[in-house]
Amino acid sequence: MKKFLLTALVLMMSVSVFTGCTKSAGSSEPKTTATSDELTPYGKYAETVTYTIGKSTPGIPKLPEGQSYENNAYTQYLKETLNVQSKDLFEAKSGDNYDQKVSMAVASGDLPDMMSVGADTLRQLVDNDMIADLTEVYKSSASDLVKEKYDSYNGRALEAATFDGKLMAMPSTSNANIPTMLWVRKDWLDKLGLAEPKTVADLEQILTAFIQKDPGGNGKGKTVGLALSKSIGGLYGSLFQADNIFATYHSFPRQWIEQDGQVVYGSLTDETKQGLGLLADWYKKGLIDPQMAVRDSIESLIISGEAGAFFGPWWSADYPLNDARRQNNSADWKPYIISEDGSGEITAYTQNPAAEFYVVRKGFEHPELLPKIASALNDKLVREDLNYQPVVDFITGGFDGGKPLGIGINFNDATGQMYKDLKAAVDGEKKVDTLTLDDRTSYNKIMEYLKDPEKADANQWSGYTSRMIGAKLMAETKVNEVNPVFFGQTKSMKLKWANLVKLEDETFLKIVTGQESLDYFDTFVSTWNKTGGNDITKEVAEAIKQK
Amino acid sequence: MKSKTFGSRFADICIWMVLLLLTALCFLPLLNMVSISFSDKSAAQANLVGLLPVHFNTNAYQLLLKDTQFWRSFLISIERVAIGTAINLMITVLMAFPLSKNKNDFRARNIYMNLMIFAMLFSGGMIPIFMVVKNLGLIDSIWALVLPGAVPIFNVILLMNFFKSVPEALEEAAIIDGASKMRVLFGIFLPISLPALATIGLFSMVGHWNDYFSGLLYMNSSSNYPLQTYIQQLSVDITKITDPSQLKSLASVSNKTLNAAKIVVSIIPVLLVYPFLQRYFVSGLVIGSVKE
Amino acid sequence: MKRKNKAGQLEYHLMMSPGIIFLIVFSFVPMFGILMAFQDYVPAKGIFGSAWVGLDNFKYMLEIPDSMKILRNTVVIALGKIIFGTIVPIIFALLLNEIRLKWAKKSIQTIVYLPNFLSWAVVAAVVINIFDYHGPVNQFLQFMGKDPTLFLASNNWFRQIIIGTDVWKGFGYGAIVYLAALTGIDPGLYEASSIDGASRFKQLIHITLPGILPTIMLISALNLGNILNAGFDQIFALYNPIVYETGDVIDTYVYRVGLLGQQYSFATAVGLLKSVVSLTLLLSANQLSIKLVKMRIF
Repeated sequence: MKKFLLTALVLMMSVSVFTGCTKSAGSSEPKTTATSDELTPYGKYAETVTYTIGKSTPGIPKLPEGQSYENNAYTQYLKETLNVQSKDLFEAKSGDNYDQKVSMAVASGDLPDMMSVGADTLRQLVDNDMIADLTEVYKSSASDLVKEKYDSYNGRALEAATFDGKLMAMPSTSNANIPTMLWVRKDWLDKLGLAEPKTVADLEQILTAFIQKDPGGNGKGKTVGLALSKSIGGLYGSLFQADNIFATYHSFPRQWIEQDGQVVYGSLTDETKQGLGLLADWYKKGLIDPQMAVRDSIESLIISGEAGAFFGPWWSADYPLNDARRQNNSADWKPYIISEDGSGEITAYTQNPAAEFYVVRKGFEHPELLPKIASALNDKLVREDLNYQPVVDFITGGFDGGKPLGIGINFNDATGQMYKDLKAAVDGEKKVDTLTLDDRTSYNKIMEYLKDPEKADANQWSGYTSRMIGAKLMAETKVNEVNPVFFGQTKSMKLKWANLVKLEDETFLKIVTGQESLDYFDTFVSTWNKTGGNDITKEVAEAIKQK
Repeated sequence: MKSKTFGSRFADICIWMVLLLLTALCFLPLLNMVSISFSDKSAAQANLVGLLPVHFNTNAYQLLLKDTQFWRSFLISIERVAIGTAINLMITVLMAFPLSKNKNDFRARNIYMNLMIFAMLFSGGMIPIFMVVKNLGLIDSIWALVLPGAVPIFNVILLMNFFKSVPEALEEAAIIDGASKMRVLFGIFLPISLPALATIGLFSMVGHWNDYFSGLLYMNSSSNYPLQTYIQQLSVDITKITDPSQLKSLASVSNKTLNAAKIVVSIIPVLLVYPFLQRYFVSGLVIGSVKE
Repeated sequence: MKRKNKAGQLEYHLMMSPGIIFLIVFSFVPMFGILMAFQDYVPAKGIFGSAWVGLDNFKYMLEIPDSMKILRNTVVIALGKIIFGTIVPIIFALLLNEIRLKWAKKSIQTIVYLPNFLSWAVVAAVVINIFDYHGPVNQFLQFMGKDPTLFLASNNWFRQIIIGTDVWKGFGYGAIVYLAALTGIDPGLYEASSIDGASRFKQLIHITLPGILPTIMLISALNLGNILNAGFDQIFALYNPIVYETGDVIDTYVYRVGLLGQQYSFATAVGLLKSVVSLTLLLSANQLSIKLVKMRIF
């Protein structure tokens, strides 16, 4: 009897425990209680609306004294403009710790009103019908500028968050970081009397001269021509990739692209084989870092002044070249655009425009709050209220983690815009206090640099070179964009992708460093297809069709 | 005869060398942490600090004194150790006593024993336990840190074995005097098992102090993290960093000397109870030596 | 008399009750979560609304290539820890036992026991510091003319570091049990053999080792149940995506896939299988130890 009672008790308790998580399912969409005025982007609520969030933090708090995640310059700003107050349902360091909290929240059915999630979780939340449809509130409550910003991606940004024609999330955007550029030691060019590079052939000549004549005085055989990452290419907008070379062959490694109406994985194409062939040839001639396979820190190679060239995005002047400049004030790195024919017009693939997704819990009474907050933070605060003092103090103090929702929406060509704004300010056509805070810092560095370029310190040099040379090149180069067609994860990818990437990494590295001949590429393609690649390609094609 | 003495002496030297090497291996990494915490910030950042501080100063500790979150977490850990250990000990004592009886004295003894062993070996997993804790409304409270582990089954078995070794005559005498079981436990068994309890208690304390994962799991507000969870946040995972703006902010925030100071301070409470621990842990293992 | 006995029984139950209540709430109730292993658990539907899929999750486990890798990592790391975590403390105990200077013995013990009482959060910070790319170990390597290595991001080194730091943390404390066993050996045996002219080494082989053999056997048998426990706290605090290849073990995999990847059912299935195997091993270990050294673990 006693045993029976015990079992019954346990059963009862567990029922109550596990039914706790069913409450959110199937509940019908409640209509928002907001008035039509409150539905406008900056309509202030009559009564304070408190909303809960999943808060992604920088780990150890980096807030000014007396401020907290729930009460700081940003929450204060939102309170003043919209009369809304955040409350953290959970806080965790971004990364695994945050993902764990999200997962726990999903598993127990107790979601915060708003939070950020990755693409996989978004899909699951949609499948489980746990988040609200934002189609209507996006129309009514996102500001024009925010819409314009999203539209600058030609629909690609919002499409990633759209399921069956419904907008289920607002993504943070990643703006364009292409084209990447060839960075070369201009002082070495001058020393050897070489012209600035325009074509791939120019680059080959320059590299040859660098390693033969050792303009940096590193000692015989110590100068490295081109510094290259072990991944060879395909990591968007990153340092030390050979994407510029591949693109001249119309090859886009590691990207899902459309070729002759078919979805193909860019690493498998004949064009990629040709690109690898050229790199292998260069490696054999000693033009590429001979120790690239075992190189742990390419940055240190550049900082120490051993390398003469590398591919990198516009911000390379901030990192790692800032340190290189600090080490040697005459190291004069300059960016160039090289192309097949020297026309300066190049081909490049575009990025995954949606980095993370902000969702609203199904059943939250104020779904319009997400577009409103997104607009306040990404439009009003960076334009009209640019000089809102508490936030200015927060940013200039180097603090972090204040925004209740970290949603960041930018123009696709934000870098080009930045250059244009700065240029206008430098030319005196734009008032400095209309620049964003970041730009004001850059502006100061640029002005200091221009006063006396010879004596400028490393920071001033970096600020000038990245913003006025690198970003300018970005803004003014004509790019023929190739849009990859898929960024997500399919079912088979979950299990097999890691192994395929490993195979791909090893093959690329082995072919370039001559451990395998170029013919090995064909073996790689068939192995890749056999060990799951075929299925994945089919799934990707399927997924694209569904969209 | 002479060669044997030489061989023996040679063996002695080898023994000493190996032992000193092992001891140094245990000691030096910790010493390095301590010296970093007392060193000049730039020297620490440049990895110039070895076994002695470079440009000795206490800046990191002065900075740490002002870090309210660190001390808040420190206090939460102290609170957790106090409450958690008290609950652990109480339950251990109460359960070990009936379980130390044989089946004739306490008829349900084996059922309970099997339940406990089952609970020790099987677990529903992190998510169901989390849901229970959450549905009881314990998230973000100190109870989430102490209640799920309230029954230290292994310690109960240890103490049970110790109780078994208490001469039966003692108990019988008391029972004839009309004492209740409770009185027997607290009047007779408890006083003679103080060393065993001290051992178990000290281990509970260290366990509670050192656990970082339950803080990560059950605390939704980072201001409620216990100290070790706070410490775990310190080490930044560089391998996950993909874009340079993160790298730059990392360089400006990662403060090696301050982090080292935090770690050193977090070890101090362990060092304080360490002498007591050392006195008792040998006896702890002796009570653990179970018999047929 | 009978009434008295009944009151006594009630008192016993009362004493058990607080602990049992906690066990029910925090151990037995959550065990219903194990049902998820046989479901396609959908959070929104709860455990009573999700579809039952039988053994699908277990079959799936056999299909994916990760399974072998993770099992191999787990067993290699756990075995490494068991083997070195047994040998090193024994050697240390034997060496320490040879020392006659009381204060030296005491000081050495004090220092080597200490790491055992530090949390993995702290030890991880220490380890990351020591094996940093510019840290002491690499500085030493460079001094010796070797190239520095990113140890914690190297598949060639990660397991060794996990095993090594675990042994580092625990060997001193692990030696206590052997030291206790050593004091239990009859000193008369040594005296007798000395008179017979036996060397110290011979004494070690013929008296000391046999003397502590039962203890070694017992501890080893106990460890058998740990063969699938590679140490979650430690690996979680030290690993990174680069070393999943060699460092990803069952517990970390379940955590990552089940919690971060939200495949709740699959992760529960993996965890359940692990529990069953561990339980089987532990029960056999119990049998083994009853047979070998006439001791039961529980």
